[in-house]
Amino acid sequence: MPAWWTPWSHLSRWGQVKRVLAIAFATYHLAAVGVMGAAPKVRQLLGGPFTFYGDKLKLTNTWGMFSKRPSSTHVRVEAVDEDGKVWTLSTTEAQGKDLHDRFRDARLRKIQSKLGNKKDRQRFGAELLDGWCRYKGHRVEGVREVRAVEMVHELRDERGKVVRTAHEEVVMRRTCGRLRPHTLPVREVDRDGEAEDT
Amino acid sequence: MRPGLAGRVVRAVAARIVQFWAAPLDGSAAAVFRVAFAILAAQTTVWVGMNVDRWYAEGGVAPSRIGNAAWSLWRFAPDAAWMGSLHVGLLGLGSALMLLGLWPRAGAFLLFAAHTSLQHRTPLILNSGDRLFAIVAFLAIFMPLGHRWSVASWWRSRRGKPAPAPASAWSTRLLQLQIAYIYAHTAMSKVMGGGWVEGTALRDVLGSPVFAEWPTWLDQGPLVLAMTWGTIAFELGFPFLVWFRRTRVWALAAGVAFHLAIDVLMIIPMFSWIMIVSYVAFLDDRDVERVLARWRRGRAGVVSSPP
Repeated sequence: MPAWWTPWSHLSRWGQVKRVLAIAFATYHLAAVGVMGAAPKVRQLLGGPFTFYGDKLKLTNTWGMFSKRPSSTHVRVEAVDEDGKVWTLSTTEAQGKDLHDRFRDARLRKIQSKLGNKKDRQRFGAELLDGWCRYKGHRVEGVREVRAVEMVHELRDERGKVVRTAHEEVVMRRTCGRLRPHTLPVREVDRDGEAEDT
Repeated sequence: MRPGLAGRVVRAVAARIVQFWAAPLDGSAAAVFRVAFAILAAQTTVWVGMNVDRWYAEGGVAPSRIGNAAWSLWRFAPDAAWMGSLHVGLLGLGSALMLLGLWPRAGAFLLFAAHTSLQHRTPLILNSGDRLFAIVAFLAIFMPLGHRWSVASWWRSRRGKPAPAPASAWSTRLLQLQIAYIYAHTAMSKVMGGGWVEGTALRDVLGSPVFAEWPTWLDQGPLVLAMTWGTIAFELGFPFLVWFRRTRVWALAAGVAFHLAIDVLMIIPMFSWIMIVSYVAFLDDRDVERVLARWRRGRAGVVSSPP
């Protein structure tokens, strides 16, 4: 053993307790990381003792998300006022934003791009768009509806041939009704379709 | 009586295990990690502060029904408008305690608790980097964060108290294993599919209008192949090479370059920086002392050199 190692018999009672706790915790943590990061079948079989630690305390995770193809598309949330004028409330496009907005919106992409997925829209789309109805920011008068617009990008096959052209489609609408906000944060869309800060 | 071969092997293995898990640390590397992590935590605090009204308020975009507030601090006051601000306060306090090294373990606990609460409240806005942030904060609770370069150590020496006994390495090892595991896990997932083995995956990634900073369709097959396989090679190699003193510095340098490239080329908040900050845990206390001594000498040289 290394010279600095204190044998069990030379430890104080508190030192013994600390050593046992450290070994127990390290063993449990490593087992939790291994089991909760494993295939679903393994998780189902052995995950019981680690569910609270992994799911509630969020101390384990799977890291396979980086291996998936990035298939999500941009989604814009727009408001339409009584005159039919369209205002951009929020967009997942980061490139056009200044540093302040980029930093503030850094985690916008995940939740908003999920609106492009039907199951996710059914799960929380209505809540999210109603939330945009309520949300207060810069003033927009008389908002009639809030809608999610998916910006479907161009898709090519392995040979570079275009198999889907870029286009936009409204995937969800919510009438603001009594939730109609007094104010909303916006970028106005001008006639050429370019966003303009207000 | 001399032990037999089996006995000697068992003792050698036991000594290795003890050396790995219980090596004494003076806390120099942990102190650098503490400061770097606190800066990252402060940045997170500012971000949450800027988004309290939007993501963490009932009058905001994401009401608590979207998440699972039962496992967050919102459970105790679901409709309280001040709950978001409380989380900002807890994160800010945790960042400050860690930065200063004043009850840094309590600071790490505050960061973990507040961040986990935020994750439950509005889970759909956070990504794997955020998840890792909370895991690292939790493991940091057990690290010797305040042994060196902290208000606690300054106060101790001012009162004439001796420096704390070296800490055991086990908690630092857990953090190191966590980082190595992330690479191993993601590399194995990539090997299983998604165009990584074929060598085309990075063309999709760099061409993605959502994830790429400058979405570009790369037609240069060999370049895409080299980058894709290079990514897998790094992720498979890191979990092995980082444990050996000779190869560690190269593994860490490659990792820093890898994550800086991700940060420049892609729009993924937090993840690259939390990985780079966690690399500090792989440094030896002696290496940290040596680098800092060289830096101090360099500064002294600059200050004292004639105009």
